[in-house]
Amino acid sequence: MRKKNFYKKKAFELRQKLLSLVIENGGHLSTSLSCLDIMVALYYGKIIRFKASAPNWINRDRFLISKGHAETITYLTLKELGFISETMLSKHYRKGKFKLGGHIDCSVPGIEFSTGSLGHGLNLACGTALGLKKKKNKSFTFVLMSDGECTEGTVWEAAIFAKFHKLNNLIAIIDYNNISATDFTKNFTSNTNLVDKFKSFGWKTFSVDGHNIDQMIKKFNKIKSQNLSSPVLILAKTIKGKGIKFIENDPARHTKGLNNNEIKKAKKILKLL
Amino acid sequence: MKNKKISDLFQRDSFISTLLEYAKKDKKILLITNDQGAIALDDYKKHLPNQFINAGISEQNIISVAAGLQKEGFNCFIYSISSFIIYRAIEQIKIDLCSMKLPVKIFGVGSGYSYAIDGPTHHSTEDIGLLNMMPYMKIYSPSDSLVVKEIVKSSLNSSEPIYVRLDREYLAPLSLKKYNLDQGYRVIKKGQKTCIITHGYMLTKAYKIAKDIKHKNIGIIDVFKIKPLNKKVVKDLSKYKNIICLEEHNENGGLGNQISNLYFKNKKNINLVKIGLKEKTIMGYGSRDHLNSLNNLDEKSVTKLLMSLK
Repeated sequence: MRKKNFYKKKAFELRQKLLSLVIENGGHLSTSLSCLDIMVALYYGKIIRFKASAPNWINRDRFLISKGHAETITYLTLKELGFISETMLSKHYRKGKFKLGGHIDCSVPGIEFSTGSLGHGLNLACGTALGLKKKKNKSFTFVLMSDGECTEGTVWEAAIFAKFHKLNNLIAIIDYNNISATDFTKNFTSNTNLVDKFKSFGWKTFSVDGHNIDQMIKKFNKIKSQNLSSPVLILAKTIKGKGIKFIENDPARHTKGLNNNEIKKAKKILKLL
Repeated sequence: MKNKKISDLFQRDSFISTLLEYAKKDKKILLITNDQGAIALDDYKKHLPNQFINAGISEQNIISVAAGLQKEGFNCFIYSISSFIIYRAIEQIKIDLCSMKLPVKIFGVGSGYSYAIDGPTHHSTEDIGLLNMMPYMKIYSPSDSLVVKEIVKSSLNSSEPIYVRLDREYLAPLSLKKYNLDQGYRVIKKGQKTCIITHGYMLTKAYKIAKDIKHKNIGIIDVFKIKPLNKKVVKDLSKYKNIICLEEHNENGGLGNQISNLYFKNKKNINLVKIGLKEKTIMGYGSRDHLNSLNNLDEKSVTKLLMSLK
């Protein structure tokens, strides 16, 4: 049993470390802040079974990060959990020997597949989940996607495949922040009601507050314990840039970094000054 | 496929029946298609329904799904029309297979103009060029069903992804002599001054042409493994004054390019004539012979060229 406010404190601590890392090494800040609480729920809430000392442990739950641009929070979390060393992150993330680059790479312990081009993760997860079923391995396959990537046609090829093959060991989580690379999704696509879309493809769907860690853990545990017959879609409603108020919900912040004044401002918000 | 010798089979049937033979003994072998048909496929499905996946017409998904399955310890073989699986899913091939060195095997049917009258949507005329640039990808272009069988056997334990370019037509074996698949090529016929180097479908053509002008004593080399190309081929070619590369593939990016690159890297000169498909013919319709004649790949044009060489 975790202490009260454990997750909230852990998430705040990760936000602080994330900001420091981005200031030192660069990275995708706003998208990382968007899915940071989901990562805390999955890893620290013990939803995903893993062994940092044995990343390829056969009975681990497979966790695929389809939104490969969330590498900053992913690598930071893997460091916190002991998959990679402090030196690896501080010296080689986006600098030094670039052992950790600007998108997710499968050579890093704890990473299942390389991603960065969107619309691959759910398909890879389908193959993984089908493989586990065929082997009668009870592990789950989780995949974290972005809502922006759901304009890729491959997502829907996977949605069809997963339902047909009854991949009830597949849990897809969409970081639903309503923002893609440069704009709000509603401004360029009709493909925004993703719960209805996945439901119509035969998936079991749920919605959660992607920043309410306790609620997410409860929901994830409930889903894992149910004997479902379909793949599961969890729409996690999030805010891009969550935790640093002045960058929240700003499409430009997907790529735009912080200037010196903004760094000070962000540090104050996250109590680093 | 019972009672039929491998040498009598179409290349795709040789592939599937050989795979069936091994899949019966190994449950980890999976055959995945995008709703393709073949006589041998019905047989495979009947015997091993649990080792067969018709993933529907979704080539990008198929490559990624195969990557996922392969990583979980399965041995995945994909069967599709070449142009669909290679062109449609080129990024999945690059990222999901090659970047992770996942040894998924892609068997694509319809090399070059195999699907002649069906047109450019079905022609595989750039597949070698595209995959030549993909790290770790091995490329085979078998000239008959016996070679296909050997490729299937050898691919079972591959540690890298493989693409095999199958012809749609039946191609009768020209040589029953033993050869080493790992060598990647075989000398079909030694010659005097001129040598044709070719692969797949064009081997039959080259053989017939050389036979018709027997007095010219043309040498013939069949390259069944295009990537990586065995450097030793330079030695076998070095004794010839003229080298003609015939291939039913875009003249850019195919075997001809591989050979000239090999010579360039080794700082050697070569008198190489590359006869492949030209841009203006790539988008055309027609019979296979007609399309090839537009590119001077027909018997008459090749013979004329060979006769002009001293």
